[in-house]
Amino acid sequence: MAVMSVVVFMLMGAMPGDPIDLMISGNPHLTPADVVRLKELYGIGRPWPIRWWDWVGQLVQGQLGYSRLFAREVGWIVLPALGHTALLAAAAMLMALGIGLPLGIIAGAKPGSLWDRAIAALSYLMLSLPTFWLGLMLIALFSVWLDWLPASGSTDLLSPHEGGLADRLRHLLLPAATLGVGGAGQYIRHMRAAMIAQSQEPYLRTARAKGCSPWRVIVTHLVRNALLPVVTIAALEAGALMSGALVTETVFAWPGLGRLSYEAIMGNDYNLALSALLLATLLTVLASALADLAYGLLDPRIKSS
Amino acid sequence: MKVKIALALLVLIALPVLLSPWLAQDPSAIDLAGRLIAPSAAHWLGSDELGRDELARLLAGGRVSLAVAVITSALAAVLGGLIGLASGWWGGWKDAALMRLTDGIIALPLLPLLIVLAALDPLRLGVPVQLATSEGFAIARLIVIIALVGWTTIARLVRAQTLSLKARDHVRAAIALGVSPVRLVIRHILPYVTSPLLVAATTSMGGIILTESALSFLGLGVRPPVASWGNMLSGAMDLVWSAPLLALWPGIAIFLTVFAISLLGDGLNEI
Repeated sequence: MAVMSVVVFMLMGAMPGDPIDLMISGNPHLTPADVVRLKELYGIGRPWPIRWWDWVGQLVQGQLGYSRLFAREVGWIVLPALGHTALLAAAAMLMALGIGLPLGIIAGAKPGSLWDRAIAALSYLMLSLPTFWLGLMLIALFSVWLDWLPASGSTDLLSPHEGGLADRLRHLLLPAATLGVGGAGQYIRHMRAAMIAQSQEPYLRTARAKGCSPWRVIVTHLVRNALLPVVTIAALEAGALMSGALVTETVFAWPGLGRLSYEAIMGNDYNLALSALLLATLLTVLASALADLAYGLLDPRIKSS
Repeated sequence: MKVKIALALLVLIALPVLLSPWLAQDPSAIDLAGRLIAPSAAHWLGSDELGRDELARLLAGGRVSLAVAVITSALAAVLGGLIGLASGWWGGWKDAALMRLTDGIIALPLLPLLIVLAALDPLRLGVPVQLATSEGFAIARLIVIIALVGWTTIARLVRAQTLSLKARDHVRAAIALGVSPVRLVIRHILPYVTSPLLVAATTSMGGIILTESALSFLGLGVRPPVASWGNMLSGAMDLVWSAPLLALWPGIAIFLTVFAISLLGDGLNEI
């Protein structure tokens, strides 16, 4: 994490234009003496390790700095955006699991069957779709052509606004579907593979020998055990969703973390981009730690080492 | 069967794309009188916001997108192959360090990182102005940054192969005979690693096409007027209310290519 913060910080240092250059172009009255004073104030020109250390010091105190683009404390911008992204990611996750798991179970229950092959083909299709194009097509179909759902315009979901709950859900539906399809494809493949791997285990033969009906064997024995590896995948996916939502958020103008970091990078808003990127990294690392932990908890055979 | 379908699809896509300079119309011929016209005999897929032939642009964009995918995956394969070979062959702390690096890159949020890399100002990194503003530079940069984060899977695969090969009799015999390490790796390990490496490199092209198109879509990859499937979509996004069909074709091209590649990879793995 510390290494990452250095890397992110240095990358930002190489971004086009520094804040002072922009101020100079924005205000022709600044004299060269002012420029020197301002550069001193912002600490530009000092070596990067010192600047990095200062920045970390402020970070620990909860001072994320000031966003030039939005003219507010970065914390006030990042937190609501994080909430929006979390909502979108959760909805997408729910959709992906809701579609992926049942289909994966059906496919894995009878490998090689017609159902299995149809579902496998479907999962390929889902994984090959470019997210942003799917988003565009959904907009073209549901917003432009059928005029059922809004393409964008989701405002602050956390504060009370005119639309009410139904309106919020309408805004959520298309982006969540766009983001969820890739995940659904993944879950189908992993669930199917886990089911087939588990079906070789001797405990299943025991269950069948006891006289359990085939469906009972599948539902109570096979699925429960096959879910284990999928839980790990899901935890990893959650991390990927948080940062992967960037494209979807841009297409649907969703006010989340991904769009925010994109805007910050493009508008070279130094402090904001830095915080948003660091947060995305933190979430990804956290998700993979969670995945390890969940695996250890669910399967006592694996001791978390 | 899977391999055959996949190859047929790929040939079907690649052939017109490769032959497009001799078959299709000029992809950059602007016709402001004939903007956004519907598919017709003159323009099979219609024309775009500047009156350029959509089919010609699609094929020209395909040349760029496919070239980027092939070169990037080759670069990533070389990089990952070298790192994997070195890691597996050396073992010990060097192996541990290289594998932590690999894990580290896998743990990073990929897309935001790529966007930062793509948004870096080349002038600040000491690239001369003329080079930095040339058309090829944006494409070259795209290739390099995707390859820089894309080598990890291949490195892991090659490392695992190298480790298992090290224990094989023919390698141990060669070690006992005192063959030099470089010759040993090239003559006795590399040939056995090549075929899984090629399969992995081929499969990685699907992901690369998706990444390239996403970056170009965001305006950070291949930049207009050079067409790529990704940046054609970003042009079409602004027009989705008036000409939704324009957004259809590049997406289908990306989708079919990625689909064929993943089918091919899956088929090859089953053999």
